Amino acid sequence: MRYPDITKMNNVPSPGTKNNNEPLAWARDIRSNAWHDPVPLQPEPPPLPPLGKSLKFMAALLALAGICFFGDRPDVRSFSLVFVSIVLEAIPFMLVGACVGGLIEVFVSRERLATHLPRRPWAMICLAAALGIVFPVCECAVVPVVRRLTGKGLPLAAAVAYLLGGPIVNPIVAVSTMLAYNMDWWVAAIRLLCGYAIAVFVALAMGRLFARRPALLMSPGMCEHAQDNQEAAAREIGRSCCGHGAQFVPAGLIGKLAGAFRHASDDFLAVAHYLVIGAAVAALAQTLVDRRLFLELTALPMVPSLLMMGLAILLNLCSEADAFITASFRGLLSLPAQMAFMLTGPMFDLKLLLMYRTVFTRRAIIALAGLILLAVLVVVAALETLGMGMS
Amino acid sequence: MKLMRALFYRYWRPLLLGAWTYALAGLLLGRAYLDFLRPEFVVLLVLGLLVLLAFIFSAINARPQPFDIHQATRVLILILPLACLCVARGTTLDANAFQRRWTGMAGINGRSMPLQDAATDGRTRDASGSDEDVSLLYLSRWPTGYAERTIAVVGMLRRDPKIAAQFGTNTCVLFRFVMSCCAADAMPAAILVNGIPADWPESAWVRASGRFTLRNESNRPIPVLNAAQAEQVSKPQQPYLYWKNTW
Repeated sequence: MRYPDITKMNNVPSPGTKNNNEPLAWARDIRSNAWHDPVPLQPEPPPLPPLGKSLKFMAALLALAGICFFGDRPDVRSFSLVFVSIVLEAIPFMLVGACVGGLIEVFVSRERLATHLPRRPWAMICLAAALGIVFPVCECAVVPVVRRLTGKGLPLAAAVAYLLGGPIVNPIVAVSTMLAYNMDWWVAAIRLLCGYAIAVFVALAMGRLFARRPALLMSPGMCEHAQDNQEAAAREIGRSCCGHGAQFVPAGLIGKLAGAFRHASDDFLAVAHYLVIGAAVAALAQTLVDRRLFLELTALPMVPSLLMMGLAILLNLCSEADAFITASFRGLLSLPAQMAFMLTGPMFDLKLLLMYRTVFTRRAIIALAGLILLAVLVVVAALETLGMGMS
Repeated sequence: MKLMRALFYRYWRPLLLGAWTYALAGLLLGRAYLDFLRPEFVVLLVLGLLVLLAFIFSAINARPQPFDIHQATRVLILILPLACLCVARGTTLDANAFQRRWTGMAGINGRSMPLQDAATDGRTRDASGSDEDVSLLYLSRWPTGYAERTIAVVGMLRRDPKIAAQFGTNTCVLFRFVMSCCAADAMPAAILVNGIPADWPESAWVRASGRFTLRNESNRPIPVLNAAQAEQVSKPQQPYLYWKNTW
């Protein structure tokens, strides 16, 4: 396996240069200056962690302490119930998604992937957006899979198409939407078609926007640790770009499976904490926000759709269950407003926003979020124009 | 101390994954996952448990990973759900959650029940096997099959000022949460009920029996139970109702 030269990465110094972030830098300096320096050699104290990381650590510690000390309060218990529910619902899917990603990493070579992809970009995008029909996944499982596929050289546009289309354009979502709407196949059809159209549009736009700019964190052949934590990557100089690089040349099926699970557990630990943060915010919203308040702000045109999009982003519901929530707004909101909820949630919510940080650069995430919201608004406006009223 | 640190550097990932595995196994063995998820999720949880076990074995054999403040933050974040799990066990969504999630009686579509035939004596048991006489899910969603019949129903109590203002001070709401996948997406199924003593607390489990009627409000049928008898009961074995055939 070929790894990039991480000493040439941004913010990572070459070995031997003076840098406090590299643990052995002081030792090298001592060795090189030993004959000229009359001052007794003292190792420098270990560098202080950056302020942002310390703050994150303190916030996590405070949250944990808060749960432990105020766990008997009814609102904390309600929050905990919803929070754990969201995490437990998503974790099996994420674990399976991570395993699929690990298997792809070990068993699918870049060359084999390239031979199976259509050559024309638009055909690749159209195919990727509909892949959920064959490989039905929810939005939690699709992120680790796409992460590994991009590492194998899947182009940005195709990755975006599968990432956005997979959680909507799949048979499980179609059936759950029909059930929620009393076997009304029309609602399910509109949802799937609109989801597919948005996935294709956003993928094409992302492909255009980032044709010459980096958008993916996992460039082909690059192990995750290098981009995940550049300081840690710097410490790996002399071994490989990741902590277990030497073991990533497995022999035999058992060795390959072990390698796949090692990759999968890395992926899981890299993505799962974003899921937890998103679930915590969603649980907080569910514990504090009164849904009837949304209904009191629905007199103006397009406002219900905007509110439902906001609600979808806040609630972080699974795409296979969100139709049941939306169905409870029947008679109160128009079908386009309900569609705004069902189209936004699987493509963009708080937990996904955080999980996308493991796949895309910050600029790409901003563009992706903007395009998704814009596309959903356009689709909803078109449905309003077509005169789809109360469902 | 150095040995401890070395061991921790070597095994912090298997330890973290082990904590998750232990929590999942505990949920499965004690059937406590039903507090959070619908019963069919057992398959996915078992699958997740097996995957976690495989992750532990692979992490034990992997090289030591660096443990800096970044990793420490991740570990704390990943421990957070386990702490909340201890806090939330045995908790059920209550009247406060009902207040946040209820969007009114809009779910009623006036049709007869598509999932279950109306029983001739009006005392149909719910498909989920819960212990109420008539499922609040069917009463709230497809009430016409039960109109003008004598029924009994079990639910949680909620006194809503808006309901009291509209339907009379003697009227309150009897509800249960209907789960699609997990407690986060549970939505209340509710009917109005008259004749509940005013001093009964919010979120109390109540079994009420009496004549079920449909009251017409703005061309919408509002299900109302005029309770001839009511008693406080203990929490049912399955406090949630479940959408049938969604899996």
